[in-house]
Amino acid sequence: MAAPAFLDDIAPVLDDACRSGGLSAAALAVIHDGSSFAFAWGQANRVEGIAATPDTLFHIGSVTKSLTAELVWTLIAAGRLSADMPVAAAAPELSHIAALADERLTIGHLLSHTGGLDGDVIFDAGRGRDVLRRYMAQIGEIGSLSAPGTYFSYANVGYGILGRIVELAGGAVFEDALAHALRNDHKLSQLAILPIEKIRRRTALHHVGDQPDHFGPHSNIASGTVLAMSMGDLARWGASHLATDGRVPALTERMRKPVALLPHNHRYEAWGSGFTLLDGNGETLFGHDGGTAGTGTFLRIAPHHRTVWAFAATGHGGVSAYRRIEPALRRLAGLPAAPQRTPPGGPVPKDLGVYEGVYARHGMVFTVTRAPDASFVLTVDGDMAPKAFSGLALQPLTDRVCEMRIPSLDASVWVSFHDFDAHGKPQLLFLLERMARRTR
Amino acid sequence: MSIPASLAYFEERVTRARDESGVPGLAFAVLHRGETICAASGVLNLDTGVAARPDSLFQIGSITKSLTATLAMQAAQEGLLDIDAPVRDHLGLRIGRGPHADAFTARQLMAHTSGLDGDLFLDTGRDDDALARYMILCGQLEFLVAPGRYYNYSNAGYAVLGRLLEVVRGKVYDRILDEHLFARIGAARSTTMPDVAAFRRTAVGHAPGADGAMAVVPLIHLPRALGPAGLTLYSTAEELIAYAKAHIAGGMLISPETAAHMRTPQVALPENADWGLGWKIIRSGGTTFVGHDGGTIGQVASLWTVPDAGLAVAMCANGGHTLQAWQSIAFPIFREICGATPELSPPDDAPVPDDFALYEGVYANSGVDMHVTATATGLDVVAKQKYFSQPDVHFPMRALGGGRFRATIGSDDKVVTAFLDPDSRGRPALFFAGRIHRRKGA
Repeated sequence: MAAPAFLDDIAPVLDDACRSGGLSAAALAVIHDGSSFAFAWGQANRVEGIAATPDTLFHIGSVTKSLTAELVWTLIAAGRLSADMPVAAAAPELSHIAALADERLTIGHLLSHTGGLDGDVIFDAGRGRDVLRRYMAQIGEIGSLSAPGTYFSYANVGYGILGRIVELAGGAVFEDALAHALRNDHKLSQLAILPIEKIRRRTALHHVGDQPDHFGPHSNIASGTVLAMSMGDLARWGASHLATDGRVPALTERMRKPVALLPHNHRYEAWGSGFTLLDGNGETLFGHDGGTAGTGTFLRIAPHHRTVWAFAATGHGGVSAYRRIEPALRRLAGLPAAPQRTPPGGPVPKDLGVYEGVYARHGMVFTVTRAPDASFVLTVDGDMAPKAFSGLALQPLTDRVCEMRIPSLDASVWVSFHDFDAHGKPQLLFLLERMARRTR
Repeated sequence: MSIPASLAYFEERVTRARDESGVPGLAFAVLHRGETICAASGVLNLDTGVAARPDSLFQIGSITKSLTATLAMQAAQEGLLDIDAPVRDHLGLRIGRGPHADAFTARQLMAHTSGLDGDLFLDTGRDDDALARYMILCGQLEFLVAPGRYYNYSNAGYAVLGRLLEVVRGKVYDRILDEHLFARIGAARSTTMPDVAAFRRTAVGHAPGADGAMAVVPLIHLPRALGPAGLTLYSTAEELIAYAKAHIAGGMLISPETAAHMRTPQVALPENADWGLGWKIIRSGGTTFVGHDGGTIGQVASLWTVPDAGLAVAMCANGGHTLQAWQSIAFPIFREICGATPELSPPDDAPVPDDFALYEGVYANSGVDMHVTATATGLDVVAKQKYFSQPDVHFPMRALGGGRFRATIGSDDKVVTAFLDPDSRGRPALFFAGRIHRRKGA
């Protein structure tokens, strides 16, 4: 079969990215108007010399959250849970987790990252079938940054809790519930959850130099550390959300109904309850991104355009490779170019002094200080702090949004400030989809 | 010095052996005069088509027992373990039921003479405490015979030995294997951890599917609890040879004296062979062969050495007629260099009359029920296995006299079985496939 025309704008980009040594492997699957395509580039295992194939599995990272959300919504549809059920009621055994003391925190908040939870707690609590219970037992200190329902703050730990709730409400170990949904309900087979299953298929893996990188811990399976799928199967899963009859449309509707408008974010506009909302507030394009174990994954679903694409890449430069191929995929679907994210207008304050201070979240401390030249800089410290974030200049765009340039990543991000007190001092700092609360 | 003919064109030989035996992926490595010669052919996985290489990982099954025994002897050399003291003294826990639980030793575990029922394949989880938890289950195992008297192949016994290592070293078995064995012989690819193996070229097992064609075996979780007995280790033909070399030379893992002691017979097998400490010993045509075979679901490995000749041959294979592949490559090498092969001499097959009705009944251990009925020339057996969904095996046994029989299972007609160790009512136990099975019922 001749390569489809849309590949003309894509293949050279990925051939080049793999040949230049940045990417190890890339795979793309497209479902458009009922036709399916799957392609692969590079090496699934660079060190062992195993080529990537269209059915090669990639770690899909946080795209798993959409699958976890689907499990939760399926239990809700079956009457086993409800979206407005307090988490404390759904899982009384989790009452030791500090954030659950607030009974306003619901399952719906966890699905839409609006629970105000403090924490991307990812650690190894073992590899056994009881790992979610063990993981939950060790996160008692996880508290809140803001009252439930007030702010968006991306929380892996919230999806970890949802994983345990799926076990409690559904009566099956999470890994079995996930496998059953994918294999039996969705009839997918090119996937692996356990390492022993990854041995049985070509699995794209990331190496640091010639040493293997590590898989994410099994503890965080529900937020997206271990599931690997072929891009073809991920696109087929996505295409199930194009359905217009059967049980799925109701699920799709709930997963992409806008819940959380992100304050001021350079990457995403809005969030549903299981999907990230893109064009038209999710009306014309939604999906999810993932990043784990050296792999970047992008799932996009365009319901009105009957198009789904799934892309994953291992190695360095997966995100920029995706940005370069996305226009061709949008053209294929008939979608307009990606809308440019622009900050809301507004006066730029002369003095950023009100932003000065220390803000914290689990594992990270953000310090905003005045530099000698009277500009303001942000430094992030702590166990989980990104190394590149030290002494970065804040350039005000509006009265509450600054642009922060990260020279080492050749990228800019937005930092925004919220929850202003009577003195005009913000109590929350928002960066990379997460909140931090002022401590001084 | 010219290369032996059996090692010339080695890649072509291995490729031909693979073609003829229908093994999907085959890897061989040979130690000869201090040099390692390797070749591999075929694929690791018929679904993915990834090619086999001499450094590809295969499940080596029970060859792992030899490594576990080596680690125990190493701990003994360091003064951490007394292999002749009751295991209970080190473990602080009784394994097995009755008074024998207080008596059996690490030496007996290594030689399979503890008498401990051995095929208890229960899964105690994927976590680091899998072995410790399995020990609790082993408390309920029966002793099929008294310790020290008979050979009875015991997988559970090797799990106990592995747990003993964890206790005396204060580390999980897998780390002991990595740090005290693989690191010392430069074996960088071998691993028990599937999340490490997933990063390397790794074979999967194959067996004939419903249509008769070779297919990847269904995923069967082999419990980590039995890791020290051989259910979890992946290794390569090359690294098996590095291990054999360490035994033949001594020094890297254990002293030459300890290595020699491990290949000294501890117990005679009914089938004209002996067991040492973690090794099977076959004397054939004046040559002493020391080795171990291993198998998991759809994978077979063999490692045989002639320490006196500095010779070792390792095979890793993932399904098909693996015995044929082994014999077509390894036997010419042994024959050319040693003038003999590691084969059991076939017993006299003239049928001997016996009162076969005496043996009728059901014999069992934790892994299998053997239904034995009398026929005109001997016995008829149906073996019903209890684990891993293995099919029943039906085969005849012809009398050799003295309570010994010769079984024909598939193409293998050299399986020697024996009735031994009569109970208080004079009813003997059945020794078959290396295991003792006690008569069931009143």
